[in-house]
Amino acid sequence: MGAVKLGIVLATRVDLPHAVALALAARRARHEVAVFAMDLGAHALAETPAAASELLDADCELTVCSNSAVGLALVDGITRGSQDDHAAVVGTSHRLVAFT
Amino acid sequence: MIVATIEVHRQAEALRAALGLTLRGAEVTAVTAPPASPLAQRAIATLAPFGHRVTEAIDLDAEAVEVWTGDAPTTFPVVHRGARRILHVVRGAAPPDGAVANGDTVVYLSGVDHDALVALAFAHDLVVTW
Repeated sequence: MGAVKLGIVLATRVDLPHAVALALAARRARHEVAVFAMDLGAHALAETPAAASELLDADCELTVCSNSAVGLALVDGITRGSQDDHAAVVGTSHRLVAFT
Repeated sequence: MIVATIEVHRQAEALRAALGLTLRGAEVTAVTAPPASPLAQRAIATLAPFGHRVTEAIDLDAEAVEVWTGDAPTTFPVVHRGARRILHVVRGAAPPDGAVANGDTVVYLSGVDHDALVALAFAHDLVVTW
């Protein structure tokens, strides 16, 4: 299989551990990974900076919806994006796993 | 976009996300109960005139599916699923009747091996996380 991209959309708190574990597993398999977080997913990442750092250290692209991230402190390296980024993750990924 | 909840905030966020998915030209179908808030109503009112479908029935013949959950779950019938081989990832409630067909795989998220899950995701045409 050539280089493929896994997209992950995270919009819940409870699924953060699985989203992170899946992203890291995909990176171990040398897949590109892009994560878009919004709503409760944005809060989960803000509340768990270690998880966010782990994703960034593994070279996962990590974007949070700015609308959802108002007032949230996010780890450096997280992109404050928009629903256009959501569309980009979904549209450019070979497979999407949505924890929503 | 399957809005499997009638929780006001979550429904509105899911429909905002559905609207967002249209920004790069995707054809979006939102499966949702009637709008429970002005925000949800506004999102629906924006989707429909641009040719995106808003319905109360699930068609799994899609390139990507988001199932939005919340505290007030709701369900919809599966009316079409196409020929894709689907990986169903189950977090709580089982997939609705008609969602799983021959050739599909069902895995339960609790206790899953994530390395195996990655491989399964790419071995199927579509992943739906219920």
